[in-house]
Amino acid sequence: MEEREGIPCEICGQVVSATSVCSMCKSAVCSECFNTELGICYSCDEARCTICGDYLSSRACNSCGRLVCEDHGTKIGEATLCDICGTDEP
Amino acid sequence: MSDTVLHLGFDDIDSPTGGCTTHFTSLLVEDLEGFGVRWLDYPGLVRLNPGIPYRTRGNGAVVLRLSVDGARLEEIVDLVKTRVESYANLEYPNTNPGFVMVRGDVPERVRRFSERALWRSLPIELASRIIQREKLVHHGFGNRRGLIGALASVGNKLTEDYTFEFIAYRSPEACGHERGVDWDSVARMDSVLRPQVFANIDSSNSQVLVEPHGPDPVLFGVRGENPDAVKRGGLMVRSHQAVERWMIFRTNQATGAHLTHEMTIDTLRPYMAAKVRASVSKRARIIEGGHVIFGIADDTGEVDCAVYEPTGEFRDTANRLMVGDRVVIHGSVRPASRTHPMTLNVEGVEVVALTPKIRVSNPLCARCGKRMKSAGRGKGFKCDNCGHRERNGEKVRTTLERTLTVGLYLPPPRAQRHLTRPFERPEKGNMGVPVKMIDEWHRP
Repeated sequence: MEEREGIPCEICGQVVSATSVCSMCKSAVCSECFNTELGICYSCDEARCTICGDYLSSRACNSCGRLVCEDHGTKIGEATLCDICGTDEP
Repeated sequence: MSDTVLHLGFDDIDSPTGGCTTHFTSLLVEDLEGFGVRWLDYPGLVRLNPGIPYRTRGNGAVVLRLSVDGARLEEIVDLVKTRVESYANLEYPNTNPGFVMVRGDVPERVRRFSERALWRSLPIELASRIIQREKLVHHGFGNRRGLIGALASVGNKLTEDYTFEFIAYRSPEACGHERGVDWDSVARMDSVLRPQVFANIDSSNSQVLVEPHGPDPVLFGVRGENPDAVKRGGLMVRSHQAVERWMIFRTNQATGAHLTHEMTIDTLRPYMAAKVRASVSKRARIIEGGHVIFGIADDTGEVDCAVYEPTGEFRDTANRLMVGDRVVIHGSVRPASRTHPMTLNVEGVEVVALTPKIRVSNPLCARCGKRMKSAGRGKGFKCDNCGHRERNGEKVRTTLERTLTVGLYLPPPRAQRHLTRPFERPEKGNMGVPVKMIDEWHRP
């Protein structure tokens, strides 16, 4: 985790004495907006692909609502089916 | 007890199978009138950052601003909660309704949150933190994502610029069937009321834009500069399905409110809506699906830009860009995946300066006028037609006309974001807040 001094948090906008850099999106964020355990900001934490966790989501599964990245969701017309619901299909 | 000013914000009440936050609001307005409320503003339809792909395409939240007997606040909160529970499809895991109530003045922290919600991706955690610190009455369902939009709508008083939309709704039983909006009636309305109304018909392909295509209860929506015009327009539109109810919203649609930040490439973040001033670094190429990809660079880095197939003729603009052209790209940041790097999804191109298009060719023969050929390295040119030689001849540089000119290019209206400021609205048209509401702004 890289620490930088005196930069406004890119998420909440508060100017703080130190920020941490999110390893997923590179945003400099304050301690309140940073999930120390994962080393990522809360925006990325909440938007990560629920299947792989490695990439940010680009869609929500129309069947189960899971947020998934481009690798773990298939577009079917305007809708998306995640890999898990796709596997469940008869 | 004396009257209390209330701001009620809602979000994420729809789902892929139907429902709509604005429709929910129209039902709630009818209920709230039973409490003897005094409306302080039209319902606010606040479009938030459109670059968040796992939200519904419109990413719209709604706010109601009213004054009511302070003794009835608990009843109102209970009513809203009950209404959300009965309206929303809470079985669908990505429907996570949120409701926020602010009494009196909107706190500065909430106002700042709403500004950021127009162009950044904000976490539920931040919305919850602000709600807790400001001690706001609220209710979040599911993972509580709806609290983000609910809070952001309360904080956005639409004072910079705004427009109006008359939204007509069909009955729930009619949802899923064809709406049958009559093209002729829309065209007539458009010709009578333009420019007070806009975005009714896409002139490039005559497509009606007022009619959505999903299973939601919206029958059609007429957008415009003032409530009288959209109401008049809305009442002129005909459709096979009956109008069950209608309501006028004040909104940030067509204001470009999401594109107010100019960023360098190294400060772009996933899902961000921003403008990027840069030079074209890679010419456009077409990829599978008919999408067009080109590159831009500034002093801080380089990023791919994508212009998607549904934007139709807008792709021609990308195709006509040349390396070195100075541009300001309007777009949203698509996060990286395993197969592509972080990409800017283009929703507008401002061409600032064009690089000259130079054609370099061999000179014409001074004797017969035919195009000469190279006689070899350092040996000048020779004419195959008459045999004339020019040992000191030089290549000719001709400046060709560019088919692109300096200016702003947007996708056709059918492919624009709700927030995109269309050519029909080049300047900010409405500032402040309306001092008076029209007598009938909803029915029933």
